[in-house]
Amino acid sequence: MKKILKILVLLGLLVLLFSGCENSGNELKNRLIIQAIGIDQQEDDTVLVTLQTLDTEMAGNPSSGASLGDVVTSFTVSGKTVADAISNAATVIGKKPLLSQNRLIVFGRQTAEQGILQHLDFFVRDTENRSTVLLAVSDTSASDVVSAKMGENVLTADSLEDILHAQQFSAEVVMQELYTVINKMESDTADAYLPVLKAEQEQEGESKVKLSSVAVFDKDKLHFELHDEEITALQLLTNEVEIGFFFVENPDYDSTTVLKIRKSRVEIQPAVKNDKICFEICLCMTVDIAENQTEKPFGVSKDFIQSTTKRAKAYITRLLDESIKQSFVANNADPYCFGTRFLKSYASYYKTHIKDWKTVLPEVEYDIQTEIEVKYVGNGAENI
Amino acid sequence: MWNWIKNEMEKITQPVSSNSTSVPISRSLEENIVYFKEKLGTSFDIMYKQTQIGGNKAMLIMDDGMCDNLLVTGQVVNPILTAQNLPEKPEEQMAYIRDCISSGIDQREEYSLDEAIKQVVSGLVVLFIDGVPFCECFGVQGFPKRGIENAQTEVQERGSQEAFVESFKDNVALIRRRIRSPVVRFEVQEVGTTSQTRVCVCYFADRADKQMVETVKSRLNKANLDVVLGAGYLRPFLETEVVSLFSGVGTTERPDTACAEMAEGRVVILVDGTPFALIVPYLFSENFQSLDDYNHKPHYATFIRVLKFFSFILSVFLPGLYVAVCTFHQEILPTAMLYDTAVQESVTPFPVMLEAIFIHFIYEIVREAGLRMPKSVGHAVSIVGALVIGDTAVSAGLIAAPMLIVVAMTAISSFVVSKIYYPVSLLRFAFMIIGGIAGFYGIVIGFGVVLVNICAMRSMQTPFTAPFSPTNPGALFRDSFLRLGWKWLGRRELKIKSLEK
Amino acid sequence: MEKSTKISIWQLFSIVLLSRLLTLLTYTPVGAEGLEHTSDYFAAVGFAVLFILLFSLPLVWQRKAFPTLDIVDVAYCASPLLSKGTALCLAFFFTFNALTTLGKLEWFVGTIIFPENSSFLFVLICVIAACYAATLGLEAIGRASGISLAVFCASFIFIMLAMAERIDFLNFSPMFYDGVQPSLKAGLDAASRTVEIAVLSVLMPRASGKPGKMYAAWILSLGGGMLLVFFFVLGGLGDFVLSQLFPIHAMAELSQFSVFQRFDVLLTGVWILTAFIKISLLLYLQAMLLQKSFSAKWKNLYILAAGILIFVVQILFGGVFSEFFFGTALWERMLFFAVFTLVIPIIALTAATLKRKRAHEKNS
Repeated sequence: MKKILKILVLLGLLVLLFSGCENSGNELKNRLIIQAIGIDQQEDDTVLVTLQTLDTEMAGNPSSGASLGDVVTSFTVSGKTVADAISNAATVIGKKPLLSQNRLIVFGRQTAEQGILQHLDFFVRDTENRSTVLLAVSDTSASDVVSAKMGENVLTADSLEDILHAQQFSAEVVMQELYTVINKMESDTADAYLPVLKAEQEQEGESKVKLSSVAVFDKDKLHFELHDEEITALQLLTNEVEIGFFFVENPDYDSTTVLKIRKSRVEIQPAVKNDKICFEICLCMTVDIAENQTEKPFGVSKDFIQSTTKRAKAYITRLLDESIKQSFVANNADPYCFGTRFLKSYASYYKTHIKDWKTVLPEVEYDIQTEIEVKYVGNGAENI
Repeated sequence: MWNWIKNEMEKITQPVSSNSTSVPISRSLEENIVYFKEKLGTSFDIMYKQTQIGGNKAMLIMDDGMCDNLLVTGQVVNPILTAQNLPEKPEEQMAYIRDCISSGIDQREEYSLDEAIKQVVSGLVVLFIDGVPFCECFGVQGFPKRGIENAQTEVQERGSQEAFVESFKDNVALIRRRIRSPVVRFEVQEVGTTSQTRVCVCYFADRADKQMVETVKSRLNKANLDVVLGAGYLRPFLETEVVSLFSGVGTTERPDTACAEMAEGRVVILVDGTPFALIVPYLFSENFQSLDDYNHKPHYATFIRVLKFFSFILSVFLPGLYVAVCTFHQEILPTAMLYDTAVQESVTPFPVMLEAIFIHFIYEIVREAGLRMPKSVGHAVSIVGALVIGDTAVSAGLIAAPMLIVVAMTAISSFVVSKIYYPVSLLRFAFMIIGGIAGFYGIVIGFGVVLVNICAMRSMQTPFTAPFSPTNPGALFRDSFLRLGWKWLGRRELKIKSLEK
Repeated sequence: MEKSTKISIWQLFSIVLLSRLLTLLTYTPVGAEGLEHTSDYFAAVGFAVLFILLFSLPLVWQRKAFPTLDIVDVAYCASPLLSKGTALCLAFFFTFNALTTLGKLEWFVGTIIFPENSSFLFVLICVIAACYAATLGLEAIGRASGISLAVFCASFIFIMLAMAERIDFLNFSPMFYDGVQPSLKAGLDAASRTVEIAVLSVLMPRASGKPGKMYAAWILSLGGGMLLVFFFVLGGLGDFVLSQLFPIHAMAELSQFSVFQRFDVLLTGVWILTAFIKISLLLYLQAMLLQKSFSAKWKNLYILAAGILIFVVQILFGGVFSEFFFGTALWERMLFFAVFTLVIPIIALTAATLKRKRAHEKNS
C-alpha cells in the first residue's frame, strides 16, 4: 500500500516538473502591455482596434537612449470582432496582449451611434480586463484619440486617464467605469452617458486631447450630447461633484462672482400625486467665493453675500430645471437615474402602471429646492 | 525501488553492537591487566603504573589527557605510596586506602572490568591490588575545555551574554546558578552504545508534566545510536510522528532561555560535549520569540513579534510570489511597477522561475561558504558574492534588478527568523518551483499543505500550532502575538499543559 | 497517525462554517435559480436559514436521543446492516460533494486564474494535496480550519473596507418585485447546498463541548456572513452581478485601496485554501465512515481510492458533475439532498429508537 502511494506521489511530481515548460508564453517579457484601446466599427462590418501599448524591449536596452515618450507605441489591427482584432495584435508584435493594465476604452463617434454593447461583451467576458476600466467616446474616430502623441516624456494613456480623473476637481468632467455603464445600459430606468474626448492637432505632429462634451446613450446608442453647464447639472443631480466652479452675475453690484463648490448633496424623493409621477429635488450646496470681479474687487459685504447667494440659488435652480427638461422632454432620456429611484420607492405602482419608463418621462413633474450657503470668502472679507 | 536502496545501504553498514555481558574483576592483577590491554590496545594516553603497596602488587591505571596530573600526584599516588601502617591483607589495604588515605576526593568501587575501563576513559584513576576482586576509582578528572563565552547564534541586546559550553557540568551549573530552587531536577542517563554520552534531563519538578518527563527519558533510552556527538543526534527521537520540515524540538545555546523554558513546564536536555540544549515541547510560535522581548517594553516586544511574523511570510513566499506574478498574474501589479519589472525582465535570457532558483541557489552557496570559512576569509566571500550577484550579474543582463531586490529582501527577512532558517530556505525553493508551475494557485495549495502539516504535529502531546490553533485566547494575548507587561507575566507562569486542548 | 479522535467544538464550528462559506463564495447567478431582482437575495438568505434549520431537525433528534453516537453508530443500534448501508450512503454523499467542490474549483481556476492552461495539472495538485491532508486526520484539518477561517475573515474585512466607497444604494432593486416565490426558491436552493448538516451528524459526537451553542453560532454566523457579503456585492455591483459568473470575485476585483488596485487575489487565495480544506475534510469523512463499516486499517487506501476516483471523474466527465448544481432542476437537487440529510437519518433514528424502546419494554 505504502509502495503504491509513494510511486503515485513520484509520478505526480514528475508530471509537475514536466508541466513547467508549457507556460513560458505567459511570462511578463512575452506580454504586450496594453494601455488604451480604441474601437472603430468599419463600413465593411469589420472592427478597427487601435492599441496603445508600452514597448518594454526598447526601454530595456540602456544603450537605446529611449525617452519615456518613445516607449508608447500605437498600432491598428482589424478583425471581425474586438476579440478577433486584439488577438491579431499578436501577429503584428509577436507578443501576447495583456489587457489587465488597460486603462481606457474609447469608441469612435460612428461606432457609438451604431451601438457599443456588442463590443463591450468581450471586455466583460475577458477575465484579464478590469471591470473598473474607464470608457469614453471620441469626437471623431477612436484611433485619433488613442494614437495621439501628446509630447515627449508624456504617456498618453496616463494623460487621458488624468483628464477623466479631473472629475475630482471639476464639475464639468465625468468619469464612467465599465461596470456602471453596463448597469445603466441594461437598465430600463436609466440611460448611460460617457465623456467625449476630442483630439486636436498641434505643431510637429503632436496632439492635444480635451474633454468636449458628454454623450448620453439611448440603450447602447449615442443619442445626444450635454455641454458645459449641462454637464455640471448632470454631476450635481448624480451627486458626483466634489469640487466645481460656477459664475453668478450680480447686476445690483455690477459684479461677476465665481463660486467654488465645496460640498454638494442632492436628495431626490419620488412621489405619486394625483396619479402623476413627480420628484422633489432638494439640492444643498456649500460654496466659497473664489473670485469677485467688480470695480472694487477685494471687499465683500454681508448684503453682497446675501444677494449673491440668492442669485446663485436662482442660477442653480434654473440650470437644473433646464437640464432636466432638455433630457426628459427634448430627448426623452434619463441619465440622472430618476426612474431607478422611482422603481425603488414605488415598485408596485411601477409594475402596474408603467410599461416603459420612457413613455412617462416627458410628463414627469418635479420641484427643485436649492439651498446654498456661502462658507468662506477668501482673504477679501474686510467689510463683513 | 525502496527495497533496493535499503539493500544497498545494508551492504555497506552493520548493526550497531551492543555491550556483551560484563566481566567481573579477577583477584589476579595479571589477568586484569591483560584484559585492560586487550580492550584498550596500545593507546599511548593510557598509563599503567605498577607498584607495591604493603608488599602486594598493585597497578594504577589512568588516561593521561583526561586527568589533572597535580591531583593524581597530590591526592592519589603520593599518599598511597608513602602510607605507613597499611594492613597486610589486600582487601583490608584497599579499604584502608579508601577510608583513611584518599578520602578527600571522589571515590567509587567497581566490580566489573568493563565498568573500570569506562571510568578510566572518563578521567578517573583506577587502582587494582593483587588479590582484590574489585578496584577503587578516584575522581581526578581534569580535561581541557573551553571557557564560558558569549552566545554566537542567539545574540541578545540587553540580556545575559553567557552561552552554554561543551562541558556538561558547567552547563548544569549555569542553570543552577540562575534557578536556586530545590524544584530543579537534573537527571543523567547515557546514550550511545560506544560513545556512552551523558545526557541530562532538566526540568522543574513542580510544574513539568511527570508523564512527559518519563516519555522524554524513555525515548532517550530507546535511542538506538552508536555515537552521540551532538544534541542534534537525539532530536529525531523526540520529534513528532508527522514528517515535517519544522521541528517540535527546540535548541538553545543560552542558559537563561533554558531556564525560562523550564519555568513554563518544559523539559531541557543537555548533551555532554554540545553547547546546545534541546527543548521539548517546542511550539511554532516560539520561533518568533527571544529573551530580549522580555527585556524591552511590551509595546516594542509586540512590534518586534509582528515584524518577525511578517519577515517569516516574506522570506517564505516573496520569491515564489514574484515568480508567480511575473509568469502568470501580471494583473496584480500596478502599471508603473509592472512596466519597470517588464523592462528589467525583458533583457534577461532565463525564464523567471529558473532565474529565481539560480540566484537563490547562488545566494545559498555564498551564505554557506561565508558560514564555514574562517572569519577573515568569510568577509572576502561576502564581498565577492555581493559583487558577483549584485552588480556584475545585473549589468551583464543575466539577472533582473527586481529579482535582486527580492533576493535581498528575502535574505534579510530570513535572518530575522534565524531559528527556522533551514525550513524557511527549503520552503522558499519549494514555493519558487510551485509558483513557476502553478502560479498563485499552486502557492495557496502549497501553503495549505504546510498549514495542515504543522497543524498535525504534536510536540510531546502539545499541538505544535498552539495557541493559534487550537485557539487559546489566554495564551494568544498573553505571550504570542502580543507580549504583556511583567506586572502580569510575573504573577503567573504559563502552563504548557494548558495548551494541549 | 491520529491519536486523539476528539476535537474541540470550536474547531468543528470552524470546519462547518468554512465549508459552508466556500459554497457561498462559489455562488453564481447562472442557473435555474438566478434571481432577476437582486434585493430578493436578502430575503433568500432568511429563507435559506429557515430551511437549514428545518433540515437540521433530525440532527436535534440525534443529539437528544443519542448524544454520544454519530448517525452510523445510531444505525448500528438498530442493525449492523443498516449501519453499513448508512455509512456507504454517506460516504457516497461526501465523495460526491468532494467531486462537485473540485469541479467548481476547477471551473473557477479555469475561468479566472488560468483561462489558457490545461486544468489537468491543477486538479492533480489539488487532489494530491487533499489526499495528504486527509491522511493527517481530523485534528489537523480542524486546526487548519481554525487558522483558515481567521485568514478568510481578515481577507473579507479588507475587501469590504476597500469596497465601502463603491456602495451605491441605488443599486439595490426593490424587494419582492416578482413576489415571494423567487426568494423562496433561492433560499431552498441555498439550503440544498448545505452538506454541513450531514457533516455535523457524523462529527458532532466527536467534538467536546456544547454542540447547541456551536450550532447557534454557526447558523448566526452563516446568516450574518451571507447578508454581509450580498450587501457588498449587490451594493457595489448592482445588476452587473447578473452578468458575472462569479459575482463575489467580481466584487473583490472592484475593491481597491491606495496602490492596491485589486483585492481579487486575496479572494482567490481564500477560495482555493477553503476548497482544499473542504475536499480534504470530505475525503477524510468518507474514509472514516468506510473504516467504521469495513476494515479499520485501510484508511489511507480509502482516501487514495476516493482521491483517484474524483480525479478521474473530474478529468473525464468534469462537465457533467460541474453542471449538477446548475443544470438540474431545483426539485431534483432538493430530492437528492433530502435523501442524505432527512430520509437516511430519520430511518436510522426511528429504527434505533424503536429497538431501544422494545429492549426497555422487554427488560421491564
